[in-house]
Amino acid sequence: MLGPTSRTCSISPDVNNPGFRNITFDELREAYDEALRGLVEGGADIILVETIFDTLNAKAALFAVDEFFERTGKRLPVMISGTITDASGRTLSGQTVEAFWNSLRHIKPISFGFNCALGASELRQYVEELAGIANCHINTHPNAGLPNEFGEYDESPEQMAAEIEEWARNGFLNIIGGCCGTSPAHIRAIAEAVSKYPPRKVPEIKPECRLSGLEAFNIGEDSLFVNVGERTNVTGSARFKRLILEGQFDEALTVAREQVENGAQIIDINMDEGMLDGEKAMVDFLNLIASEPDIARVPVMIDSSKWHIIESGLKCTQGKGVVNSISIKEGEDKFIEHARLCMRYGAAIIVMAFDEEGQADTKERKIEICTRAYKVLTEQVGFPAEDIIFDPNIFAVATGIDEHNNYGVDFIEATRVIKQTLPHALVSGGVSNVSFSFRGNNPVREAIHAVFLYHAIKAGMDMGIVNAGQLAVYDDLPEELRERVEDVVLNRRPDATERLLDIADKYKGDGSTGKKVEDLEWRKLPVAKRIEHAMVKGIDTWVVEDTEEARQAFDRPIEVIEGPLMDGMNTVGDLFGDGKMFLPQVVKSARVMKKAVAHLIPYIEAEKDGKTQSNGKILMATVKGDVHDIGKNIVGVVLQCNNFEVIDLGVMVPASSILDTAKKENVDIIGLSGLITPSLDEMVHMAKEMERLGFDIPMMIGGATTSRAHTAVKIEQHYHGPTVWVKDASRAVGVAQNLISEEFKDEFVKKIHEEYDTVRANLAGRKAKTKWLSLEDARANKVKIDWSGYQAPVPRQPGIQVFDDMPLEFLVPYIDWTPFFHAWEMKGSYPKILNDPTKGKEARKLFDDAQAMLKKIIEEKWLKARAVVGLFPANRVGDDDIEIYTDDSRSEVLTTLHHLRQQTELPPGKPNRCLADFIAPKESGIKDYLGAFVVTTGLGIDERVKRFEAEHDDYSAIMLKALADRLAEAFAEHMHDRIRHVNWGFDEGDWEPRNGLVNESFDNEKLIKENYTGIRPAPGYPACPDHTEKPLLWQLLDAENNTGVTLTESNAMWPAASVSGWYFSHPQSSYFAVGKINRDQVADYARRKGMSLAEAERWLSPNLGYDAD
Amino acid sequence: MKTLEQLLKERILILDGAMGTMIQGYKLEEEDYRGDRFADWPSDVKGNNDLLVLTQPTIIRDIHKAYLDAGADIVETNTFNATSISMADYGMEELVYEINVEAARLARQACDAA
Repeated sequence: MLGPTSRTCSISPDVNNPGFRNITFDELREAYDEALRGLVEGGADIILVETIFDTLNAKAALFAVDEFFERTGKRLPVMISGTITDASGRTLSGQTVEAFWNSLRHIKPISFGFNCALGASELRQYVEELAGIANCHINTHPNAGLPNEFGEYDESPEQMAAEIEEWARNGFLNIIGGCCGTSPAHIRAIAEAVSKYPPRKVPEIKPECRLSGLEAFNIGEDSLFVNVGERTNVTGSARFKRLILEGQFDEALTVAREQVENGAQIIDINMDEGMLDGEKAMVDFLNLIASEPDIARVPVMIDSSKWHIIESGLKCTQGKGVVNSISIKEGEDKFIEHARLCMRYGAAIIVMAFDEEGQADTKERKIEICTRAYKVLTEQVGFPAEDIIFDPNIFAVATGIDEHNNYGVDFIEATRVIKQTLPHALVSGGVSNVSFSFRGNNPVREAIHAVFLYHAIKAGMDMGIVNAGQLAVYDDLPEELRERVEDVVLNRRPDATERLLDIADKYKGDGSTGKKVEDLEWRKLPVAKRIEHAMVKGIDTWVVEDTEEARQAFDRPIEVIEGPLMDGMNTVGDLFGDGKMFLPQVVKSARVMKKAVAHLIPYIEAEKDGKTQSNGKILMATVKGDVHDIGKNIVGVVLQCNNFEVIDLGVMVPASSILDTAKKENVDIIGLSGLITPSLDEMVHMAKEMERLGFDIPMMIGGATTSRAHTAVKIEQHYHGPTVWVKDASRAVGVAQNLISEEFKDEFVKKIHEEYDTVRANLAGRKAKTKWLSLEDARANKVKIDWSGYQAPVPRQPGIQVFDDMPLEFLVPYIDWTPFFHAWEMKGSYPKILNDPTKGKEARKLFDDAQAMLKKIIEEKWLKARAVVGLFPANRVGDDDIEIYTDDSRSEVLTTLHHLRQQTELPPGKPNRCLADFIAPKESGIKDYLGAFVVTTGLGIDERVKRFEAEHDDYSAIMLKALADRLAEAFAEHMHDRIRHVNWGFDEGDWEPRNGLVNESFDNEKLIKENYTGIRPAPGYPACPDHTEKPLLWQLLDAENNTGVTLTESNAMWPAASVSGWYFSHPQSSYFAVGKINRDQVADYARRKGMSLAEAERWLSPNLGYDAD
Repeated sequence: MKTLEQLLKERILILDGAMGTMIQGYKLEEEDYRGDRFADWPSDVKGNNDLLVLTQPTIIRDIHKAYLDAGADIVETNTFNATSISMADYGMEELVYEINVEAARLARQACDAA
C-alpha cells in the first residue's frame, strides 16, 4: 500500500505565495518507486494507492508504478482510492469525483474508489456517483463515522454494516473495507452484511475524451463544438506576452480567467518565446492557476514546440489535460516515445499533421499523415483513440498567392475523411490562422472565422483554439459579407479574394467587434447616444472607452457629465419614478455612471474651475452602534443617480463625526440610517446635538427600525430644522428634491409638520385609550402550561458546540428568498414574484445575478460561516426570569436571563405572554433546558465589498451584503433544524448537514412558515426586545472567541450578517411581540437587572408605553 | 487458484479495516516502538507505526490475522507512511526500502497462514 505524504504537489504550503511548492513530481516519483520496490520484493500481490488528497501526488505514485511495471515486465493489479476531505464533495486539491476519476483512469486500475475522511453515510453519494461512471471495479473503505470531539470514531459495527448493506443492495460495491476507527468486528459485520448480494457489474462506458481540471469535461459524439481559449499564448497575444515578460503574473491570470468566463472550456497555454525561460514560465503559471478555482476548473492544454516544456507542464497538472502537440516530424521513434509518456502522465494529445517531409497542406497529405499516426498510436502504443486529437493544420487563405486559396477547403475536407475513417479520434485547429491576411480588420476576421467554423464543424471538427467570447455567429453576418467570405473560405471563384478586399474596409469599424454579437446595433450610434443607452440598460462594458471618446469630442469634460450622462440618468430616474424600472436596474445604471465619472474626474480636476453643478450635497451615515447599511447604500445610489452629490461616512458613525463633516463640507442635507432599536435613541441624540450646535439643514431619517410615528414623536420635537422620515429608496429622491428646492421647500416642510402633528395627536389618543394591566395582573395571566407530568426533552449533546467553517452550500436550501427581494425594494413573495406580470422580468434578472454571485461566494469561499450553539440546564425563577445552571445538579447558577411581559389588556382568553413562561418553574422540580446560538456568514465580506466599491460597483457590493444576510438567516435556520433533530433531538426524523441537498422530504416552505416545534427568538426583536441581554448570551457561549462576532456599544452584531438568539423547546412556545410596557414593569425590570431606571428606559424606549421623564 | 479478476466477478470482496486504530489498542510506549534495534535512535519514534514492522512484527502479523479471521480477502501492508518523504520526520529515510519489504512479507505470512 502506498499512502499519501505530508507534502503536496498541487498546493502551496505558503498562502502568500500560491505558486510555491515544497515537493516536486520527480521527488515524489522517486520516493514512491523506492517504496514500491520494497513492497514487490516482500511479496505484495496488489498495489493500492490510497488516501489520495492531491491527485498530482497520486499521479506521481502511479507514474512510478507504471514505470516499474515496464522496467520489470511484471504487472500487478492496481487499486486507487481517493479521499473526499469534507462535505464539499471534493478532494483536498479541489477536484470533483468525476474529475478525479478522469485524472487517474489512464492507469487502468482494477478498482477505483474512496476511503477515509468521511463515514459511510457521508461517503455514500460519492461512491454512488463513481459507481455510475467508472468502468472498473469499485473499492471503498470509509471511516467508522465522523470523529467525535475527542477525535475518536464511534460508529458501531452494526451501524456501519447496516449502511453498507444498503450499498451492496443497490449494487455499488466490489471491494469494501474500513478505514479509521474500524476493527475486525466492523469487518466481520460488513462481510456478513454484504455476503448475500452479488457484486456490482462493471458498466461499459462510451469512448469519450474525458478531460478534467477541477471539474470533469467530457467530449463525446453528442458534444457541441469545444472552445479552447487562445489568449494565454505568448505567441498569439501581445498583451499576454508583455505580462509574462514583465513578470506580471496576477494580470496574466486575469487573462486566463477572462477566457474561462467568456466560455473557454479548455485553456491553451503557450510560453514559447525567445526572451523567456519557457519551462520556468510554464511551471510558474500552471502552479499559479492551480490555486485559482475559477480558472483551474477547466482542463489545460499545454502548448509548446519543445518537448521538455511540455513534460514540465505535465508534472504540474493534476487534471487530465491535453498536450499540444506531438507529431512524426522527427520520425516514428520519438513520436512513440512522447506518446507513451503522455499516456503515463495521463493526458490527451493533439497530433499535428506533420511528418519527416514537412507540414501537410493538401487534403491528401493531411489524411495520409493522420491515418499513419492513428495506426501507430492505436496499434503500437495502445493509445486510446478517443484521446487522440488531430490538428490537420489551418493555414491562411486570401493571401494573394493562388496556391493558398484552397487551404480552407483542404482542412474541411480532410476533417470530413478523418472523422469518417479514424473512429473516436477528434479534430481541432488554430482557427485564427485562417484569417491571418486580414490582420487589423477584426470584423472581417471574425466573419471569416464564423464561416470557416460553420463549414468545418459540419464536416466534423470537434474543437478549435479560438478567442472565446469573440466569436461571431454565421447567421448574424451581413449577407454581402457572408457571401464574399464564403467564396474565399470555400474557394468558390478565382476573384474571391479581390471581391472580399473590395468590401473589407466597409466593415472595418473601430477594429473591435465587441464581446457579444446579439443586439449590438446601438454600438453604431453616436457616442452621446451610446452613453445614454449604456446608462439606461446598465451596461458597463464600454463605458470607459465611450466616455473617453465623448471627452475628446466635447469642449470640456464636465459637459460629458452634464450632457449624455445626465440625460441617461434622468431617463433612469423617470423610469424608476414611473415604476417602469426597478431598483436593481437603477443600481446597475449607477454603476455605469460611477465608472464614467471616475474616468472624467482627473480631467475635471485638471481644469481646476470645473465644478460639477449637482442638485445638492447629502451626507449619509449609519449611526453610532449600528452596522447595517444595505438600505442606506441603496438610497445613496439612487440619490447619486438623480445628480445629488453623496458623502457616505459608512457605518457606526458617531454624531460628532457626522456634524463635523456636515460643517466642513457644507452639506445641504443629513441622512441618518439605522436598523436596530437602540439606533432610534442615537437619532434622538443627533437631533438634540444639531439643535445645540445651531444647525438648520434638513435631516432625513430612514432604516428598518425607524417610523413616521417615532420620527414625529421622538425626533422632530428636538430639532427646529426640517426632520423627515423617508420610507424607502424610491421616496428618497422626491423628499431630497423638495428639501433642496427654493420653490417648494417651505410648502413641503409645512406639510410635513402638519402631518406629524396629526400623527402625534392620533398617537396620544391611542395611548390614552390603552388599557394597562398591572404587572401583577399581567403575570397572573401568563401562558397556561400544565407542568404536572411534563417531561422536558433532555439534550443529547449538552453544552457548547462550535462550527468553525460550515460549507456554505449546506445553507443554500434554507434560504428564504422573499426578504432578499424586499432588500431590493421589490415587494412580493418568492417564487411568485418571478412570474409577476410587471416585476417578473427584472425579478428574474436579479435572481439570476444573485445565483451567479452565490455560486462564486461558495466556490471561491468569499465568506466564512461560523457558529456556536449551546444547550444548558435552565428553570424559570419568579415569573419572568430564567436561571441557567452550571450543570445538571442545578446547584450553581451560571447566569440569569430577564424577560419582558405583554402588559396591555388583551381579549379574554389571551394570555399576557413572556418568554419565561415556556420554561418549567424551578419549584416544579422539572429539569428543563434552554439553548442559545450565534451564527455568522459575514466573515470576509469587508474585503470583497471594498473591492467592489473601489471598482464603483455598488450593485455587486449591495448584492453581496444582501446575500450574506440571507445566508446568515439560512444558517440560523439550518442550526435550529440541527438542534431540534440532533443536539437536542426532540424532533423526529433523520437529519444531516446536507439534509436539504439530499433529502427529498426536506421542505423549506415548512421552515419558512415555522411549522415546527420550538422557537428561536432573538434578543432585540419583538419577543425579547431588550438588546442588553445580548452580552449575557455572548458570555454564555464565549461567542466572540468562538465565532468572531462582536457587539457594538448599541449591542449590534458585527459583522452585520449575523444572527443570535435563544432556543425554546416547549411545544406551546410561540413567537409574539411584547409591545408597549408600563412604568411598573420597567421599574421592576431595572431592579432585576441591577440597572438604573433611566438606563432601562433608554434601552427600552421603543417599548415604553408612557413618557419617560 | 482463482485470479483477482475472477473473484471480483463472483462476489463482493472484503478489504481489511484500520491498522492505526488497532495499533492504538496495544497502547505501545516509546520503548516498544524502538525495540532493541533502535534503542539509541536519536529522535523519538513513538507514533511511527510503520516502524513496528521491524520492531513489533508479531503485533502487526496478529492484526493482519485478526482481519483475515474476520473475513478480509485483501489485507493492506502497514506502510501508510513508508516513503522517504514521510520517514524524514524521524530521520529514517534509509529504512524505507527495508520497511516496505518487511511489511509486505508480514502480510504475506499472515495470508499464507490463514
